[in-house]
Amino acid sequence: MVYLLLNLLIHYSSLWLDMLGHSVWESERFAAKFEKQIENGVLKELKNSRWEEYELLNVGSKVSDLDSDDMFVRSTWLPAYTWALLQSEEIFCDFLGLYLFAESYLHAFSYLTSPSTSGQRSLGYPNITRRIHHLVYAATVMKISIPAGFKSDFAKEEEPTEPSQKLLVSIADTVSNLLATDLIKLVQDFANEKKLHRRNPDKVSQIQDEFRNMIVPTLEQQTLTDILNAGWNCSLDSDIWDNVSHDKLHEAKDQILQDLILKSMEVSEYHERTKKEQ
Amino acid sequence: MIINAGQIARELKHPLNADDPLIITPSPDLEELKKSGSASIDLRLGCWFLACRASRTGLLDVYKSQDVIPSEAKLTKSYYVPFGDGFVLHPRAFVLGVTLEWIRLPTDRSAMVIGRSSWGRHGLIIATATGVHPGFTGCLTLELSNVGEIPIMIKPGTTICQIFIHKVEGGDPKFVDQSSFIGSRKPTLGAIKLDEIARLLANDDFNNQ
Repeated sequence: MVYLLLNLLIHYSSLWLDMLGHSVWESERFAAKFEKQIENGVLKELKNSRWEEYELLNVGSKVSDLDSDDMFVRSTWLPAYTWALLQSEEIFCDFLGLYLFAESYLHAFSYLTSPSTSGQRSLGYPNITRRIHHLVYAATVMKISIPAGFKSDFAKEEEPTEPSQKLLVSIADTVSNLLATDLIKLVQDFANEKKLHRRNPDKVSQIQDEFRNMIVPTLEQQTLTDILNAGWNCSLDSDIWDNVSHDKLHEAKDQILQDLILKSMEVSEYHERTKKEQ
Repeated sequence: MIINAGQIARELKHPLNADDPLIITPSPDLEELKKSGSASIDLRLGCWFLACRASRTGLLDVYKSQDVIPSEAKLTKSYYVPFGDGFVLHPRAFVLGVTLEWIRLPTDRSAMVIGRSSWGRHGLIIATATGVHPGFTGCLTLELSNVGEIPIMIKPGTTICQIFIHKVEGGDPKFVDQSSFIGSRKPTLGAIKLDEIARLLANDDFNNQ
């Protein structure tokens, strides 16, 4: 997994939070908040909008059968429920990552996943087009700037072609889509309750100036998100790297920014630990 | 001229030249420094260590072609010791450490790093005096050796050496240290570079002519 590639920290660290998001989702039992809503959503979508397609695949079915507890009937639509739930978890993780790591999450997301994952989309994730749509919407709500060209970095993924899978994932997409606003609110409520830090533009700017001069930030109170956002800004600022030849550019950026960022984190830990002992 | 710790504290707080500041991060306690009357600043041990892989190296022969000399990655093994953990330096062991502090020297300042006598008396030697050139940026590599009889535990964050900062006169800011040590947060072995005269003198083909 990419999360283990520590040597490319600047590119990956924001996405570690994706893993953290799953832990939060699990430990806070957030899935339970949405299970009934998703089940109802799937059945409603089947009955009201997709019944003809469903009937073609399940000859002889009646609408009233869908509400029964018959395990054979349930198995015909259960994948849609499972995928919608998994997709909701992934959307939550994206939103939590975005909330905490702001622009750096979008840069890292683009670096890692654009233009798209090869082959058919993973059914437990919203397809990349919808993920980007959700991220852009959430960024607007959270007042986070969207990097120029972000949306156009991505290409469409292959959708499944098998008729049953195609129908059920399409229903899952519709249902999870409707939860986006609720998931943003969930992230915001969780972050407020836990008093999670967000990036501070003034501090990002100050750290960025110091990185530019090859200095580990002198600020005593800086957060991981401030450091990473400053690192990404420096990485993308071509003026800083004017003196580096093109063939060595990536290596130089990785080496210098990795040193500055990791050292900054170490210094933050130093301040955190010594503050507690005072 | 060695700069007094009080003056260093003032320069850390209010750089003489904002474009070319003296920086030590994390910063020492400036108020304590002012009162210390010392000529040096204590530096702390960082979290990274680099030890030689003796079993992989028969002989360090820098007179061979650079292509034949094993790379730093092959010659050494890196250890990360988080805060709270320790590194045990056994008698006669030699390891490279690094300062916790990230240092930036202005173009009119140089420095010397030496060990602290309290550690030295217990057998921990921080190598020879290490010169730090104007314009240096990064963490300082320390050469740690236990010449005592008993193993010594060292933990990141411990004050382990001291830095004396000097004023450099007559230098040209355009010509600052551009060595490969700039910007490193880990100890580095670095390459031993022979100059042309040393190569000529070391060439044994001359003896066979």
